[in-house]
Amino acid sequence: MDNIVSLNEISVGFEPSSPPVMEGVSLHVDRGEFVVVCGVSGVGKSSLLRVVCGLLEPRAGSVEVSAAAGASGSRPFGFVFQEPRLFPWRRVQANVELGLEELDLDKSERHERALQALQLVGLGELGRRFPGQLSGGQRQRVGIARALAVRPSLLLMDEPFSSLDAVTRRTLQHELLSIWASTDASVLFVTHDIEEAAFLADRIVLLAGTPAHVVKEYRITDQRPRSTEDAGFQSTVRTVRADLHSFQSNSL
Amino acid sequence: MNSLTPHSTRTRPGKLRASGKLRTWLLGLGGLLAFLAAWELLARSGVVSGALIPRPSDIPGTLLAEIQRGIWQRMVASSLRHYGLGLAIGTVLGMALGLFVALVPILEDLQAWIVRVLRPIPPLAWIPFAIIWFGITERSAAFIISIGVFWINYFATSGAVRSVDKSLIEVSRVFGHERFFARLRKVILPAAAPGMLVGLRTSLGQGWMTVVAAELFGISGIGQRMMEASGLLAIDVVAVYMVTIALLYGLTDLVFVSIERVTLKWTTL
Ligand SMILES: Nc1ncnc2c1ncn2[C@@H]1O[C@H](COP(=O)(O)OP(=O)(O)OP(=O)(O)O)[C@@H](O)[C@H]1O
Ligand SMILES: [Mg+2]
Repeated sequence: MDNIVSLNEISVGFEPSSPPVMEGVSLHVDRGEFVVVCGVSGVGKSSLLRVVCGLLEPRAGSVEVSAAAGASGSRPFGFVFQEPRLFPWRRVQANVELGLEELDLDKSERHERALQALQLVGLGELGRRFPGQLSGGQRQRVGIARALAVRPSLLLMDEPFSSLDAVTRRTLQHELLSIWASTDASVLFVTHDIEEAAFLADRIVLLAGTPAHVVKEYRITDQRPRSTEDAGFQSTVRTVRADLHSFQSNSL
Repeated sequence: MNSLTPHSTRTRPGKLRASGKLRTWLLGLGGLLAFLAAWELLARSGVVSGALIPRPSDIPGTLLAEIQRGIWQRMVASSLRHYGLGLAIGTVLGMALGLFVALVPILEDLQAWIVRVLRPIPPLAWIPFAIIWFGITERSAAFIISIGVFWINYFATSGAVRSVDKSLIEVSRVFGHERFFARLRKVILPAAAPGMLVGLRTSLGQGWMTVVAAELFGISGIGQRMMEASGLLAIDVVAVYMVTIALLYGLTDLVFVSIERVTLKWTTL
């Protein structure tokens, strides 16, 4: 199939003298696929996303990205960071326009696209505020809007919903799935919440061990929208949870 | 009871804030007046000789005389020129070099000892060099003023730029601002602005402090007039120019703060 990104046997380390935090990780995302990476805290999920979009140079291995072949008026990557990471000196609207400024769009198009993205996350009214005037969850949603506004070929999301309440989280999960379904974007999504993974993913990739590597992958073919009541959903959650526990206790 | 409490707490903060501001003003004014009154009393009581301290009540008359003779306007105008020029040169160079050093890692080590050697030299110690380089000219005065201003801005800017949040720079890279100047304009400068402006504000005061010294060696201005007057033991004239400097500083600082309040609104949220 047609890969949008593929990591081959990459290894990641920070200090040259210390052992790598990740070794021999291979991961690919097909065009249009929704891949969720799961693993415990500190295993290397955020680092993996940073490798994918070129913010972090792997020690070994290769990164191939064909995401650049996006349409004009869109960016290869949209990144939702684990923290909101907004520019405090910009109003919400201008924060969302950040990724549009280097695209070939005129001012009114930029404005329109940013507004649309803000409406998607339920913040259409707050464009004139500064980030300092928002709640923590609202800030996180502005970060999501900023990534959606660039209509990325590959959407990288690092625990984007973990600071939100259950109701808002569920709404945004549905929203995300419908955006994803209506475009040809691919998603690489990080979470430590197995239920969230089972709700969203085409494929779950389990990261564990020290140094971390891909210990298991699960292909999920259940129809969407999924429900926590479904037998398929429940069995996925049970299996992944049991595996995560066993891999994690093995590595200790 | 329960319904009363929220009501009273809802109305109070607004009132408190308004009257609190007025109170601060009144207290500040009261303090100043009390200080002047105590000074006046001390001077009149004869405890201290009138030749040693001027009386506050003499100052308006002396000021008026200076203005009528046109001296005050001339001195203030030329000091403002020295101040403006020195401030501009020191600020531009200080900010530019501070930015440069913070952005280019090897400069950090290269500059360390140069700075340690030059920094402790007081601006006044440069007077002989100023005279040799520029003569007894306005440029000399501006040069001396610019030295103190330069260092303050240099340290403030390099510190502020160095502590810009790296994670925001990552954001700008992911979202397509790959070119250095785009990053400078969109992340580094706005993020460093509050720290840089603290430096600028500090140097506004430092600049006025050196104006007087920079004019002591014959360049016309407030400093020169004060020297003249003190030679004649005209302490009331000296006091008039002390007050003048205080007012000019207060004015520059007030203008600065009101500009800052608009442009850096986001820092107070
Ligand atoms: N800049 C850094 N320097 C040194 N070590 C780092 C750095 N960034 C991350 N690490 C280490 O690399 C490992 C992986 O970090 P990473 O942030 O990728 O974890 P994570 O899986 O995203 O965790 P979490 O779920 O808590 O966000 C951790 O052990 C962390 O301490
Ligand atoms: Mg993380």
